[in-house]
Amino acid sequence: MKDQTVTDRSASRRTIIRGLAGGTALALAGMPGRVLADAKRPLIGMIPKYTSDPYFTAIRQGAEAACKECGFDLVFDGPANQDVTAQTNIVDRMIRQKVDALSICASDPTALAPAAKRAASKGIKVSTWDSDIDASGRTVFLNQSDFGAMGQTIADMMARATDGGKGDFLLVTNSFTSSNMNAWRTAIKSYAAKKYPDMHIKAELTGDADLEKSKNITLNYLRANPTTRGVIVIDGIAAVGAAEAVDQLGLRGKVPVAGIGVPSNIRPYVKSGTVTEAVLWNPVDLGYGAIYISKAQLEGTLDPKKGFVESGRLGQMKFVSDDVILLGPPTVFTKENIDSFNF
Amino acid sequence: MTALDVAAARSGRRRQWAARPEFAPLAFLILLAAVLAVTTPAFLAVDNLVSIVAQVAVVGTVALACNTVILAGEIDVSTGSLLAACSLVFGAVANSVGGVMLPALAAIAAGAVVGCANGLLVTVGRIPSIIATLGTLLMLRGIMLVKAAVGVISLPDASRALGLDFQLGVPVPVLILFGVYLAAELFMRNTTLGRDVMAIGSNGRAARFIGLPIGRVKLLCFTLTGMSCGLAAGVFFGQIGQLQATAATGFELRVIAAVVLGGTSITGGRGSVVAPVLGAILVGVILNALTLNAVPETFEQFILGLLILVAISLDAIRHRVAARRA
Repeated sequence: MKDQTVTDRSASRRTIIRGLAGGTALALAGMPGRVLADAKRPLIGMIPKYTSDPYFTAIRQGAEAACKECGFDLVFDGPANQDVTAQTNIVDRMIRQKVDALSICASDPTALAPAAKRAASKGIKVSTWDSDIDASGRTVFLNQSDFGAMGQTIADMMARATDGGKGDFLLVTNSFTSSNMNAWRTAIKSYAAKKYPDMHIKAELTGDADLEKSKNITLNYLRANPTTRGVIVIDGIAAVGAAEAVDQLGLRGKVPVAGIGVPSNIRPYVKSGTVTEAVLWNPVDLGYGAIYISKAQLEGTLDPKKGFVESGRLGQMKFVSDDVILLGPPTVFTKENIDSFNF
Repeated sequence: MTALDVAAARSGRRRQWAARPEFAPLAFLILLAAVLAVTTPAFLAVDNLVSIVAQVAVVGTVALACNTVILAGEIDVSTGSLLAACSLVFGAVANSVGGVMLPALAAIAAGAVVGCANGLLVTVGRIPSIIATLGTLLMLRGIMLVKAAVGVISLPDASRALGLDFQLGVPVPVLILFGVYLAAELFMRNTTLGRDVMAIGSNGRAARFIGLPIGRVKLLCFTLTGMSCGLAAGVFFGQIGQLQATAATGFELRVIAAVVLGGTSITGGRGSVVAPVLGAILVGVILNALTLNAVPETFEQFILGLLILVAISLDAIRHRVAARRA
C-alpha cells in the first residue's frame, strides 16, 4: 500500500515535469497540446558502454529519432569511461527510475548480467546491442553486424591492400574482455586461415581504448618487426593510434592500416591513404533499431518465429537465431565515400 | 641533508654513492637494460632507445615538476585532467591562430592558473593536498567530458611540431624533457626557494621555527606543476594528433609512479631532481620490452604495481636502517 503511494507520487511528479517540458516545447513550436495530456509515454533507458566517444553520440542521435517516432521518452546515460561497476550502478538507478525498457551495450558480458536480471524481475524489458551480456540476462541481442561477415570484410580489405595478404601482420585491439572485438578476432583468423593461408597474424596487442598507448605499442612493434606487411585494427581508437604510428615511422603506403574505423576519427588518415579502407555499421541506425526492438518488446510483438522486427525507416531487421537480431550488412568507408558519413 | 646522508658522508665514497636515493632505480634500470640487450635483439637499437625517451617525455616533464611538490611533503593528483584540459586550450588556440608558440603560451598560462589554484587551496585554504587536487582532477575531467565528448578535436599539422619535429637529429619531446630537467636542477640547487623545498618536506615544524616561507614555496611548486602540464600538453597533443575526452586518464598515477620509482620518498624531504626522469624511463623500458616481445599489455598494471610496492618498501627499510645508525 505504501509502495503504491510512492509509485503514484513519483509517477505524477514525472508527468508534471514532462508536462512542463512538453508544454515549453509546444509553446515554442506553437503546436496544439496533445502531448500534455499523455501521461503514459513509455520510458526507455539506454546505456552505452561509455559516453566519451562520438560513436555513442551517434547512437544517441538514432535512438532519439526513433523515440520521437514511437512516442517514447529516452534516458540516455552511461559511465564517462569504460567502467563495469559504474555501468551496473546505472542499471540499478534506472530500475529505481522505473523505466519500461532497458537497452544496454555492455562493457563486460558476465559482470552486468545480475543487474540485468534484477531489472527483468521488475518487469522491465531488457535488450542488448553492440556488446552482448550473458543470454540469461536479456531477451534479445541486436547484432550490429554479423561477426563472420565483419571478419571476412576486414581480412579481404587487408588482402586487397597487400597484394593477396601474404606475410606477417600485426593486430591491434582494445582489450581482450570486449565480447564483440573478440568475436571479430576469431572471425578474421578463421576466415583468413581458409582464404589467405599465408596471412600470419604474428602478434595481437591491446591499446586499452587509449590513443597514446595504441600509438606507442604499434610504433614500438613495427620498429622492431620491419617485415610486418600490415596492421589490422579492430577498435576505433586503435585505428587512429596505429595510423599515427605508421605515419610517424614514414611507412605510409608501405604498411597499410585497415579494419574497424569510425569516420570522424579516421577521416584524415583515410584521405591520406594511411588507412586504405575501414569498415563499420552506421551507429545512427544501430541506436535507431535498438529502440524499435524495445518497442516490439513493450507491445509484445517480438517473436522469433515471425523472423523479423519492424523498424521504421530501416524496414525489417531479421532474426539470425532465436535471440539475435541482425542490423544489416556492414558499411565500408573509402577515400571516395568517407565524407558522406558524419558520425 | 638527512641523517642518512650525513652518515654516508662519513664512510667511503662507494658507500656514499650507494646511499643516494637514485642509486637503486639506476642500478635496476641498468640491470634490466642488460638483460633486455641479450634477450630482445631490437631493444638496443638507437632508434628504439630514443623513441622510449620520446614516449616518456610527457610523463617525465610533468613528473619533474610534481617531484618538487612531493619533495615539499605534498602531493598533486590533478595532473591527468590538467594535461587533458591544457591540451584542449592548446588545440583551441592552435585551431584559431595556428603555430606553436601562442598555443603553448596559452596552455602554460592555463596550467599556471589551475596549479596556482591548487596551491592556494592547500596553503591558504588548508585543505589536504590529496583532497584539493582530487577535486581539481574530477572537475577538470568533467569539463573535458562536456567540451570534448561530442566531436573530434584535432591539430593542424604545423601545430604538432612540439610532438613530432626533430632538432639536431633529436626529437623535440626529448629536448624539452632535457631542458625541463636542467631548469629543475638549477631551481633546486641555485635558488633559495628551491633549496627550501627539501627542508620543508623533511621537517615542516623545524622549517616553521626557522621562518622559512612554507606557503610561498608550496604555492610555487604547485604552480610549476600546472605550468609543466601546459608545456607537456603541446608535446602530448602533438604526438597523438587527436584529443579524446578521456585522454590522459590515469596519467596522474603514472606521474607519481615515475617520481616514486625514481627514488623520491613519497613522504617528502628525501629524493633527487633526476628521480622522475629515471622512473619514467624505467616504466617506458618495461612497456617497450613487453611490446617488443609481443606480450599484450595485460600484465602492465600488475608489474607497475609490484615495482611501486618494492620501491616504497626499500625506501621504508632504508629509513629504518638509517634511524638505527643515527
